[in-house]
Formats: sequence, structure tokens, C-alpha cells
Amino acid sequence: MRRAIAGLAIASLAALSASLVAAEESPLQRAGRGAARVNFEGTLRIRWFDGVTARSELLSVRGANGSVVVRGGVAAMASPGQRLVEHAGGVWDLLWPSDQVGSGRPDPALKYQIAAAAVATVSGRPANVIEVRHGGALLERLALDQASGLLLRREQFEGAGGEPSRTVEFETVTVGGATAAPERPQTIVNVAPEPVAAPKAAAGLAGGYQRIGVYKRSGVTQLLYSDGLYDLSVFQQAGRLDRSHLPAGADVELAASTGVRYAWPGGHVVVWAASGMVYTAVSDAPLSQVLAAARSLPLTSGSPSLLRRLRQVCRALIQPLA
Amino acid sequence: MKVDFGRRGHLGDLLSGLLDGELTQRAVEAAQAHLSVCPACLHELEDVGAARAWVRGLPVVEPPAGFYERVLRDEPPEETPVVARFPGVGGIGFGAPSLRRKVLAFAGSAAAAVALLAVAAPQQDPVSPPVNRLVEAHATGASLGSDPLSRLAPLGVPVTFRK
Repeated sequence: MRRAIAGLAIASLAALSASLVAAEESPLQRAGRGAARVNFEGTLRIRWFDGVTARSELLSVRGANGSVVVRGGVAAMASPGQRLVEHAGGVWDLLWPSDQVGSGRPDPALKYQIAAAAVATVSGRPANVIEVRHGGALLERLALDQASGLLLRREQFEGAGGEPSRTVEFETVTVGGATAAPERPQTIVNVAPEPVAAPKAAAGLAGGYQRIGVYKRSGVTQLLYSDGLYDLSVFQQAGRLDRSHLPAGADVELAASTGVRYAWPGGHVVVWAASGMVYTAVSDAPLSQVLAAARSLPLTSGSPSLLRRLRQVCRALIQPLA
Repeated sequence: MKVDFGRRGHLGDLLSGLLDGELTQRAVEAAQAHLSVCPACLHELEDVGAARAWVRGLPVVEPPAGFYERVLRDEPPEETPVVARFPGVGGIGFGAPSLRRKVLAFAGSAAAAVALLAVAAPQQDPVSPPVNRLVEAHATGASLGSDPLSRLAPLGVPVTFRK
């Protein structure tokens, strides 16, 4: 009898811990594990609305041995713990050298309603469909390959109308074949950021976005937030916003100033300035969430101290003579 | 070939060497390859070049007649009686300013100028965020620990920002 009770208790604990793990994992994280497990090759269609017109691009994609490479006009690569982007001349930028990002994301179920929907067929493969809603409004519809867990289609919805505002979908795909692993780039330039301590940075933003990391690269500070489903980066640069060099965008009102917003194939960008700092928010979250988070960001003064300014002047005077 | 410019991955002090032609051919090629993909270093190179041009464009100040000779001979400067320079002062004289006092005066002026520059210099540099690069940094970071396909796919499209 004791053994039976002990066994029941252990089984209950195991089930509880499994359910906790499942609750902390978003469907996109699950899809990420699927992509790392299988070999696949195909073409990926990406559709988005750039603010004026609906646009579409076809990309090639290949994954094997845990590495994935996406190729269009630009190539991007995910290898275990690393992220690289190719630029002109076959030079690859190593943007993230290790899996230092991604842990500590909050539980998406705290904010979103995540539920299974009807089974679908994508590119000839049966897929489990998961819908993500917020306040009843459909935000995401994800189709995961039944056999492998690979994400076959991701549809994002914003506003009324029922049409997806962004879609990434396999047009053709072969899963489980003898796909060659993406070749390791020959020329790599390390432009990875360094994690930095930022005790004054806001720990959270409106909409349940929690800070999961602070990094610095080329004088730009990146505050990375997540609500469990979407990540939101706020890049900070001290200075005044030089609008003359910004690409054309749509004006948008923020708490203390007028910003500029852009649509890109992966989401939204908002640029604004306040208190001597220039902020750039980037996210694949709906625009309403990006703006709410941006408006809730506590302002940080970007004016340098007198000592810092003195150092800057001395450096400017001495550097040319060095 | 793996090019590594140090912990931060930027050219830093190598920029001065590049401008002065002090780098080896291999280092020049590596630096130029990096500059072709790194707007931050390119911007810094332009700044350093502009600062040098500014300093080198300053007018040349000619020293007083006999200055070099006096310095080489380590002689004190010519002294002029205060009374002669300030006739109204009468007999109250502090002695003529020595070379040391001139140097001190110059140093003081320079310090004051630096302090004035520090206070009066424009406090904020113009910033134009490199939106494409920031988007890359975000999307690649967001793909870590998440789905790489849907988060990297947008990077495969050359970004054009429109209203």
C-alpha cells in the first residue's frame, strides 16, 4: 500500500512538473526544438504588408544537424547557440556567439490564450494548428508538422478583417531526407554584443513585457524584453535624433515626442527621442503592443556628465595628435 | 580566414593606424573588409579623419622672434621694466613676466579653453539609428531559444522601410 501511495505521489509530481514545463514553453519555442531535431529542405514564402502594399518573397531554407540557413537577398544562419547574417562579399557577421539569450522568458500563458485548433495540411503535410489569442482577438495561428514539430506556417493577425498581416509558410518542403548540413561560413566577423549590467533599466514594460537581458554593441545598448511569446528590443543611443538620415516612415505619437514607425517583414520598428536619448524599438508583436511598451519606457537622461564631456573633449583634442 | 579585432569586435585604435598608413597590408585588407560591413567603425573612421583634418587645418602660430634661439640657449627671456610697460604704475613693480610665467599662463589658458569647450561644446551628437542593423540584432536574438525559421526568414528579405 505504501509503495502504491509513494508511486502515485511520484507520478503526480512528475505530471505536475511536466505540465509546468509545458506551461512555460511557447508554441514558437516548441517549434524551435522541432527545427533543431529534423533535417529539412524547401522553399519558404513570406508575405507582409509594408504599410502601402502587400509584398511577398520566396526564400530557400535548409536545416540539418541543428543548423538552419535561410537564403533570400540576404542569408541568415542559426547554428546551435549562434546566429549569423551574411553581408556583401561573403562576410558573415556573428551577431550572437552563444545561447545567452532566450532563457528567462515569462510564461506566455499568463498573457495569452493558447489553444489547439483544427488539424490542417500545409505543403502536403498534416499539421497541428495552435491559435494564440489576447483578449479574445486572434494574434497567431501556427501550424506545426505532426511528425516532426517543425513550424510549417505562421500567420500573424493585426486589426480587424481576419486576413493575416504577416505569413511565413513552406511552399515546398522535404522533411527527414539526407539533407546536407549548412556549411560553416569561412569569413566571420565577430560583432556580438556584451551582456552588461543595467540596474536602472526598466525591469518591465506595459503589456507584461519583462526584461530578459541587456547588451551593448558599438555604443548601442539593447534592452531585451519578452512577454513569453514576443520579444521586444529597445535600443538606446545617447544623442539627439537626426531625422534627416532616417528612412521615410509614418509619424506616431509617443509619451513625450513624435516618433517614426516602419513596417518590415518581421514586424514593426519605432524610432523616437526623449531626454537626450534616441530609442529604437523592434518587435514582431502587434503594433499596439509595441507602442504601449514604448510609451511606458521610463526616460533615461542621455546628457553626458561634465566629467564625461571633459573627457570627450580631451580625447577629441589628443586623439588626432596621438 | 577568421578576422578578430578584439573582444569588442571593432577596429578601435586600428583606425588611427589605418589613417596613418601604419598597418600591414594584411591588416589593411582585414580592416577594410570590416569597414565594408560595420557602419559603427566607418562612422568612427570618418570622425577621426574629420578631427585630424580640423586640427591640421588650424593656422600655424609663429613664435616670437628669437624664441627658438632662447630655448636652445636656455636663456631667460628679455626682461622689460614694468615701469616702461606701464608708465602710470610708477615705482610699484613686480618684475617682468618670466618664461615660466608665460608657460604657466599658456597652460592656464589651455586649461580654461578645455573647460570652456567641455561646458560649451554641443552636448548631444546627432544620432541616426542604423535601423537595418538593429532589426538584424533583434531578430537574431529573438530566434535564440525560439523558432529560427519564422524569426530569421524576415532577414532573408533585403529590408526596405516605407510608410
